[in-house]
Amino acid sequence: MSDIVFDGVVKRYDDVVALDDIDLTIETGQCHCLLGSNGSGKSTLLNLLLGLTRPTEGTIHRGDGTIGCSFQTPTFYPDLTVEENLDVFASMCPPPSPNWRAELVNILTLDQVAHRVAGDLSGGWQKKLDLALAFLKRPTFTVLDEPLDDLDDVTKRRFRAFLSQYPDDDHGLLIATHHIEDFEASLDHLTVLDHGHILYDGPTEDGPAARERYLELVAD
Amino acid sequence: MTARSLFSKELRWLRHNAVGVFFVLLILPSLYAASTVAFQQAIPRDTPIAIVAEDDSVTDDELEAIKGVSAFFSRPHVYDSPANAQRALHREEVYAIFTVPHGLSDEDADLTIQMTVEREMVPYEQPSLVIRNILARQVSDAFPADISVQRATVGEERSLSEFLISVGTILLTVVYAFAYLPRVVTNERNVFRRIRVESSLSRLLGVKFAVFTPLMLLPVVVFQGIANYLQLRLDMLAPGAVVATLLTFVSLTAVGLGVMFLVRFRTAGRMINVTLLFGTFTFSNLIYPAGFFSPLRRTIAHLSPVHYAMVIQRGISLKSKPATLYADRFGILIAFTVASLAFLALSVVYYQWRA
Repeated sequence: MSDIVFDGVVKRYDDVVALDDIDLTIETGQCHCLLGSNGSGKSTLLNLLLGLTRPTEGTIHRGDGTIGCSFQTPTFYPDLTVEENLDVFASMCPPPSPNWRAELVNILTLDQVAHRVAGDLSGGWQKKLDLALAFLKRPTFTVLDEPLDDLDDVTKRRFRAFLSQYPDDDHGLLIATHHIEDFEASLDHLTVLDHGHILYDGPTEDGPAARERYLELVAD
Repeated sequence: MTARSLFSKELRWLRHNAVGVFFVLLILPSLYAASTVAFQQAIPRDTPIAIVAEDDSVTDDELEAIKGVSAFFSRPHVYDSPANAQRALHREEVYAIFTVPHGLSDEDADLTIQMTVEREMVPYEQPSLVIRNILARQVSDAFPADISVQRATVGEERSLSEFLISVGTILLTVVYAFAYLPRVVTNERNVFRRIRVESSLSRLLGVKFAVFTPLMLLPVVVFQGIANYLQLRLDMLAPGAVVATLLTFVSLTAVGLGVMFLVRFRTAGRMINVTLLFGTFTFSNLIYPAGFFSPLRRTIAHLSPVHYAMVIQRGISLKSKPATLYADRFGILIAFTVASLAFLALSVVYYQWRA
């Protein structure tokens, strides 16, 4: 079983409850969107899922699948070139095939900056490298935190198309964002967080209804 | 108006960085001022020296009498045999040996106390001449016999340049450990989250040590190359000397990185490491023998693993002594290295726990 399951998860930082009694399942074959305003607990939930922090109470079952991640602040070796970064992380967690890496580089047009030092790139290029690293091993689950930030419109379109194709029987997506409209076309499952609580967790309706539902929930 | 706005910004910056500013502008000067108590005099009055009987006829009272006289300008220890005193000399437990003859109380005796020093301890050469003169005056005042003091040397003559190249290896190692490698790792801290997902921080640090520890051989090779070019007699690449240098590097780097993880790579970590760097330079007596400047500095130096690393490195590369002579000192270095790595491991655990 490769589903990720949060079971009664609580996360406290001193007196602040960041997440309270969270039960949540993330499945393959779905584009699962995590929505919430600032301070809702999205980042804490992602950190727990990635094993970067531990729950105060409850358990997280990560199954036997692999997990890839893209962070809101791009994360890579700043002193290495784009190609060297891809090489380093590909050797850590090999891509399923050389074609897969080439496809990622092509979608994100990273070949244009392959030999440039990553730390010297603009924010948009750094985001593209971060996204490429997230998908490099073609993980079972890919966790993306505001993946479209800083991307130009053309890349956004290409990348959204790529995302819509990614979920299948063996792969799933978890996207944390404020901008639900960016993913409405490919969205399968919606979880709305507010002040550490789940306001809604279930399948999404088609079209703009998802956004409206989200706004209603948060407004309430 | 612009200047006023910028002034306001600086005040806000001060408020947000109060801890760092407090450390730099208050703690550092306080540490410097307080550490000056460790410098009590500019002549060596507390260097450890060995007192040993010339032969079996020398009485314990005579040894104690010389010990009492020597205590005015050194820290004397009585050794039971010349061989043990020589061993202590080569291990820098003492920096001179006073060999005492029998008959100090005999008015008709014409005696010579032999003062033996190592020729390789170049900074001690001039002070040892002063000490010989002081000892000669003290014993002629204290005893009825006619006593002269003869200064003898053991070992090979070495230049100050040879001595300083030997010291330079440990000095640079301290700089790399407290300044360079923590800086390298700090530059990469933004990738830690991805590393923690794809691998682990302990693996990352293990690889850092695996790469940078052998790289520390490069400055050693450079020192040896320059020594060869200048026809200086040094064996920096002797296995024992290299092991002492590398153990020093690993242990101090672990401390430097541990500090950075503990303070979550804030500026305070760099300031603490700079303080440790200068503290190590100052209090490990890398150049001058332990006992120069004050008894306090001797005590601190004898608590510093870097002091022992220097003694080992100098003993092997400069004095051509066998590594086995320093077996227990290697033990201290290894224990310190293990403790430093444990400190680093705990710091990383704390860093991840606080994430």
